[in-house]
Amino acid sequence: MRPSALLEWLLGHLVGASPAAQEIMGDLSEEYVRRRNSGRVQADLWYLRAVLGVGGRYLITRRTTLHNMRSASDERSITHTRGTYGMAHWLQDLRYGLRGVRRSPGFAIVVIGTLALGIGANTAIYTVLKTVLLSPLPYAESDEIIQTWVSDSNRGVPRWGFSLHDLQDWREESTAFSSIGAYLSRQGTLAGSDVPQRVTYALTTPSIFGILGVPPALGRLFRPEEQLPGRDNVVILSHGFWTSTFGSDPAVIGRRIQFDGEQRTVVGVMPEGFYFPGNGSQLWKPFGMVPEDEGSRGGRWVLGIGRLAAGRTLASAQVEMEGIATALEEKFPAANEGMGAFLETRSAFVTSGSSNVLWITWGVVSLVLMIACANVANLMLSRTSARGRELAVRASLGAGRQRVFAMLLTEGMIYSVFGGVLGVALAYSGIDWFRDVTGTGLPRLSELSIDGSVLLYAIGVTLATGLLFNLAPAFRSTGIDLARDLKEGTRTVGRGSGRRLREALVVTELALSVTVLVGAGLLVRSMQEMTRIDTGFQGPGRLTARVSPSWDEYPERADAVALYSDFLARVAALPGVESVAAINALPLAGGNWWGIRVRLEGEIYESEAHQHRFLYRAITPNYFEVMGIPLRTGRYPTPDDDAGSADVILISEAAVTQYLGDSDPIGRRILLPTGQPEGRPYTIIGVVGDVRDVTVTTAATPHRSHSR
Amino acid sequence: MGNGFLGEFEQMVLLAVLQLGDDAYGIRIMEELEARVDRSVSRGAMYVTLDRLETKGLLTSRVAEPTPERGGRGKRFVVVSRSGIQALAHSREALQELWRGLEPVLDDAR
Repeated sequence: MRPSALLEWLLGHLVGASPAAQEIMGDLSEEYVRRRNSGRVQADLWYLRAVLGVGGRYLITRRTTLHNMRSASDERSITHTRGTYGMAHWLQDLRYGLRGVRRSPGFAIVVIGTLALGIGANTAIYTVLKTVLLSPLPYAESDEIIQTWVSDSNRGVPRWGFSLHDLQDWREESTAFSSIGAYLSRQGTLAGSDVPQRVTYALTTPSIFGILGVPPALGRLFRPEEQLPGRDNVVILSHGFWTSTFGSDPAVIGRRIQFDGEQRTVVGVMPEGFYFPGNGSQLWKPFGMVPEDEGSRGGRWVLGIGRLAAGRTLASAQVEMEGIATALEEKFPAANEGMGAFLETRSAFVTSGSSNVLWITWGVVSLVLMIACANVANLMLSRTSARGRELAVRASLGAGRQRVFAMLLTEGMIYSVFGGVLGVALAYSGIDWFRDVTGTGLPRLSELSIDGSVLLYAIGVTLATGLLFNLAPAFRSTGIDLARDLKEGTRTVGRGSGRRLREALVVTELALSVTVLVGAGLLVRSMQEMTRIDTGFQGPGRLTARVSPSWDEYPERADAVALYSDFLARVAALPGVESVAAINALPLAGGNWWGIRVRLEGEIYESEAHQHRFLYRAITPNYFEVMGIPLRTGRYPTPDDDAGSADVILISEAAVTQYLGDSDPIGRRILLPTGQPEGRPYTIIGVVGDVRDVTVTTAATPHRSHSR
Repeated sequence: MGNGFLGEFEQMVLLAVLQLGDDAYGIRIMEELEARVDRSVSRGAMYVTLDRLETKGLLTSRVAEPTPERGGRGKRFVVVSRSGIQALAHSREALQELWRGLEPVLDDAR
């Protein structure tokens, strides 16, 4: 419980090193400790005020004493010497400048407000930029953590997931990595308390935590054998989840919780600030399976990361992985043909997609700051012109050009310092706002904070701004024509060099504004385009809800069907509900974007890799009608189809174009990989419009749906 | 110090130090002033005044053992010196002399 070291340093500097100074610092520190008990923020603010009050008072007293002593010994007036510009001059200018601020509060408010907005926006965006792009991920030697992908050249997809088979082969063959692991984000249900809780969690191989190199805050990490089925009933909690759901109880280690239908033991809690793979992960659990449990090698459903072995580089690892991928292609042509390897650093992967946006945003706010500077420079310039007479009087009393220049610069700096302080305060609150509006749109937002480097940046920006908007007026002032200015008094607006400067400023400002406006216009335009994209379904008037029952309570299919039927019937009975339907994965809601490979009856495929890939959804019969997805040919499913007697399926237009060509799809049969090696046949009864399933900007995927 | 009189604030600080006896240091003096005179005191002005009074020899000070809540610094206890008490007396006499016979003015103002 000590006051901020920075403020103590400042205070020490202001009051000096005498015993009296030590007393003041001790008194303030003592009172700070006392006030700290009733709130940190209040105590900090109080301390800041006290430091400024006492420090300011001391500064003035000390300097005045010094000044008086000097004046007494040396009769030369210190005010307007043509010699060097000393501390005393500067303090004099500072006091004069502060008086100026008080004298014209309207002018001050406009100038400081303009600068604060510019500096605040710039600092806030820099904070985001620094956190997201520039600072290393919160893992040990994070630049050695590599995101590993299978690249699917058949479909031109560079980043595709793994199967556990792939992972095992890569792990065994590679020397470039000291460790490779797999993970996958999921949603699960924590039961056992009054209300079941939906939990975002990640399945991981035990090696993941070793790769990330972050020790647990409590308990332990996963052991290698906990990857095995039957040994996997252990979980690790995130710090946030531990706090919110388990009340930060250290006795949680060893406790059994009911998660996703099974009793699992909490073995560890990760430290605050740790996240993986995304911000939202509340819990981690081992996959609990061996590659053999996975079925097909071609079902690539997990994501991989690895840590580079000592002395290895990303490039050498990439070469080695490509070699391994080629060997695997030869060994398993059915599943691995066309499957290469693609590596990138974890941080490149995490920030890909946000990097351009952030740099551009930062560029825009920097332009805005420059506009603000030009604006303020213009205001200052008109004021300097209006002060022509005052400056002329100063010059006639012996103030050199340097002296007047320094005075104007100091005065201007006062505004920029006020603007900077207010700007940082704005940035501080702006960051919370930014976090709220961007939601999950940017990675690493939980790490956002204004730290020393941001403050340093803000100070730099403030000083640079101060120089930028001050140079013009200050330079202008050095061209004083004594005789004319004294005669003409304040009628100096619009004269020669001053007018040219102001015109140049206006032109600069206009050019910058137009650039920013065009950029903003384009952005709005893209947003409009995006909202105009036909998603294939009708959004307005539709509400969605997610239900994820714990499957051990509904072991039989009939029980689950009964649960959903009951649920749908009760929702349908609610006042205001017109109709209701269900699907296993909503479009554009994230997740479930892995395709499955299927065969058309009567077609022969060279290998598994040549089979058609479909996104697959299970629906209730009226789903298409409820979502407003149009029928192109055939018929919608009926409740009779739903009874389970008939295996019927609908496919999307894109699937027809891509896989069936001109032949009539109705009545054809599709074999779905449902356990039996030959697949289970489903009859196509209809073709529906395409739906954008994964994101608004990726093309509609060949898509098929069948009644559940 | 010559024949100069004490300033109003200087007198207030000296009197507060006397009132506090052995316990007179920065925070306590401020509290004492604020409590007795019922006006808010500028911390900076008080410290500057303490310094000035010590320079003039009206106060003497000693530094106590450092404590952790003071960030490893000791309290500076002050006591009013003999010449400090003389200065107070001098100022008081001067004021009393000036006030003599003026009570009716105060009564009128009430």
